[in-house]
Amino acid sequence: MPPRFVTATMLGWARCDHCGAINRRVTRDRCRCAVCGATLPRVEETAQERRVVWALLLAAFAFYFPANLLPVMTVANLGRSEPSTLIGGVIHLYVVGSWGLATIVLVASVLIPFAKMVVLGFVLWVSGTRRRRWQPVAVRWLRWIAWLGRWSMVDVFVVALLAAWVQFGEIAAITPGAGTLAFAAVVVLTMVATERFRPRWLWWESDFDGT
Amino acid sequence: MTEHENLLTQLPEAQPATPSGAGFARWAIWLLPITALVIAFWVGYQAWRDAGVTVSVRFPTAAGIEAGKTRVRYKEVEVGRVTAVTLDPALDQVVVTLSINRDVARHLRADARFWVVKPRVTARAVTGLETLLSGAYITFDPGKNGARQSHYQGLNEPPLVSAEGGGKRFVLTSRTVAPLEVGTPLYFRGLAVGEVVGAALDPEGTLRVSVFVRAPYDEQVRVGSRFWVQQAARVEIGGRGIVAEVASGLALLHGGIAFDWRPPWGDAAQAQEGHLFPLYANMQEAENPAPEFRLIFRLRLPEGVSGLYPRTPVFFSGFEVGQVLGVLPRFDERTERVSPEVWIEVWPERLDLPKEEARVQAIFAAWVKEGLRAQPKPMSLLTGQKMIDLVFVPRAAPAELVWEGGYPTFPALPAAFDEVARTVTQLATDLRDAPWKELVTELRDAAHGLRALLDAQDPRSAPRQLRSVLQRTDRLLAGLERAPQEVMSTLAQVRETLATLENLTASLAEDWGEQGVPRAQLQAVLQSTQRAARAVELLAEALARHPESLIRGKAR
Repeated sequence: MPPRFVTATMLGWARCDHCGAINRRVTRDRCRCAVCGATLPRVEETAQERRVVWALLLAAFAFYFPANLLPVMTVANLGRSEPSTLIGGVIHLYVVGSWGLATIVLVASVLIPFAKMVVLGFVLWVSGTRRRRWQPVAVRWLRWIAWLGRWSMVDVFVVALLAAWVQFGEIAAITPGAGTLAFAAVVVLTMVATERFRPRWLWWESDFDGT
Repeated sequence: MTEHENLLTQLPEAQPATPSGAGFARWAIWLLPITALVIAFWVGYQAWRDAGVTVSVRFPTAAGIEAGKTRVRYKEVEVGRVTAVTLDPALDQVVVTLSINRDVARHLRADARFWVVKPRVTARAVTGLETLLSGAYITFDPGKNGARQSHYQGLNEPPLVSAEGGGKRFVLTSRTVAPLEVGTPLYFRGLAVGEVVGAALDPEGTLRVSVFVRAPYDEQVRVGSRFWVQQAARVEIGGRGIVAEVASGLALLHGGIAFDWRPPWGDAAQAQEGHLFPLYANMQEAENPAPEFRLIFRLRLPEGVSGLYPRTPVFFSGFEVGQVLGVLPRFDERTERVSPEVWIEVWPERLDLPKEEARVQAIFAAWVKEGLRAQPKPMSLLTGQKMIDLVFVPRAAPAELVWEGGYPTFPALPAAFDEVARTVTQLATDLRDAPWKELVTELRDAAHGLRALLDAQDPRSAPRQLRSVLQRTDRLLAGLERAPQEVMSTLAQVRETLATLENLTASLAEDWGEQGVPRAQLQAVLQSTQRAARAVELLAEALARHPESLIRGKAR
């Protein structure tokens, strides 16, 4: 089956990500840009890069559970300390009748981080199997989660602000809990994973670039 | 663009680079998710451990308990929290769901007890003040036996004794009312060594009091130890004199239970946990306890008797063998009289009788046939205390033990004290009703007769002596009539007068007899005088014994 398009790799070229110079590839081994000396992406290293993204994604997924189940902050009020978790907060909001607020928190803090990881996993899978019909879907979703990434840290910032503001000793104090750290880890790891994913992996017919 | 096209043919050649690291570097990236997983699992495990074990406890009320806020503490260390407060389906109780740290919950046993700590003010102590600010919390005693349960019944009140302190529980049984409540202190020789931890009535109506004796004093509880109720203060005026006791310390406010052991009280071995002891009403009873084995008799006394109360002793040939249980009035339809019915219990062991009820009943039945009767008697004239004496009456009217309503009726005699009282009263009445006027009149008549006789006789030979004697007698009698109180002082005069009179008349008789004076007349006068004198003497004696009755008679 002839390729749908031609890439630099297929022609035996490699574009340097740093200076943009097109180098001619003489070996499949790791090589450097003749102009700036930066390491050129290699076909084999693409697989390695994908492994890195997978690892980041799995690590983010591992932190997702403590992020939701551990208290994100502890409110100490007149001697009673009250740890609250994300899920617990959602349930509490729902029970007290603020189902709208509960939905917002649920979507923003629970569902979206999960959706991001699922989408990234799906994109990685698509880039591995190279199924053509999923490629446009995957690339659209990838752009969407990259856009969403900028809002992901809102929860962490809220907790950080509250913890900084509410410090009145015995009367009231808010301290961030372990859940916040886990949540931040989820967000950072997904963001890094998203950044390291190169959308061009999706379009390649094979790791061999046709040579 | 075109000027660059040929550049494609002159592309720079990529420079060889140091080959990427060994195989390890390629796979090292997997350490990241593995580390993440390890951290997540570790944190998850900690969360699971801290999340704790769910235990539900039922309380009568959820006052002060709030889901999510109320803490569970053990020795003032927070070990859990209340996660939910719900009502049980029957709306009888509140089900409080607790989440207790796993490593603490491991120590919960089947007999664990949960209670709410909140401010409490009792006569003994003020507790839980610290909860005024922080709110009530739930605490527990982990218990000792059995496996952990998922449902417990909470206590309404904090238990006074925690199992952690060490000590033993014992059970006291009492047939009478004991002024006790949970927390009543337990004293051993004046030192508070424990408390009452519970009191309940068993189906037979026996009061069962659970007490806890703290270590190391629990060793002082012997198998033969005796427990008694220590009242705050007690004064008993009984046949044995006046006894006063004042308790020490808190017992003054609350009363208490005391226990002790002395050599004659039986086994000195240490009592085991849960040992049953009788609880005596007071120290005297503990020292001389009423045996368990008893016979109950009913006495029908012919007349009302004062001074018979519950615990009045029953004696049998000098031994205290029982006590009065109660005195009830009974109306007799036939005679239309109210007479007392006295219930007594008799302890056959005190008479060394066998411990078989049928045997002892038979023995008593035989004794009654031989004349054994119950009779109320004074025990102490000083205090008016009575007793019931079981005495053999010789030639008693035949009687038997009569069974009525499940209890035998013991034949009874009228109160012995009442016989004496009746005699004395009769005497007083007789004295009061004595014909004083007539006696005095008679005496005066005699004096007049004597004077008339003397006047009729030769005044020469009638000595002035005699005249003066008569005058004195007259005065004496007048005084006697006026003031009975003066009788005692005048009695001497009367005696003197009579003696003189007798001498005189004797000499007169000699003189007059020769002169033909009617001797018989003189004799009659003398006899009359003597009778009067005797009457006065009797009166004086009676007055010496019972002056009051005379006053009462006079007042009438």
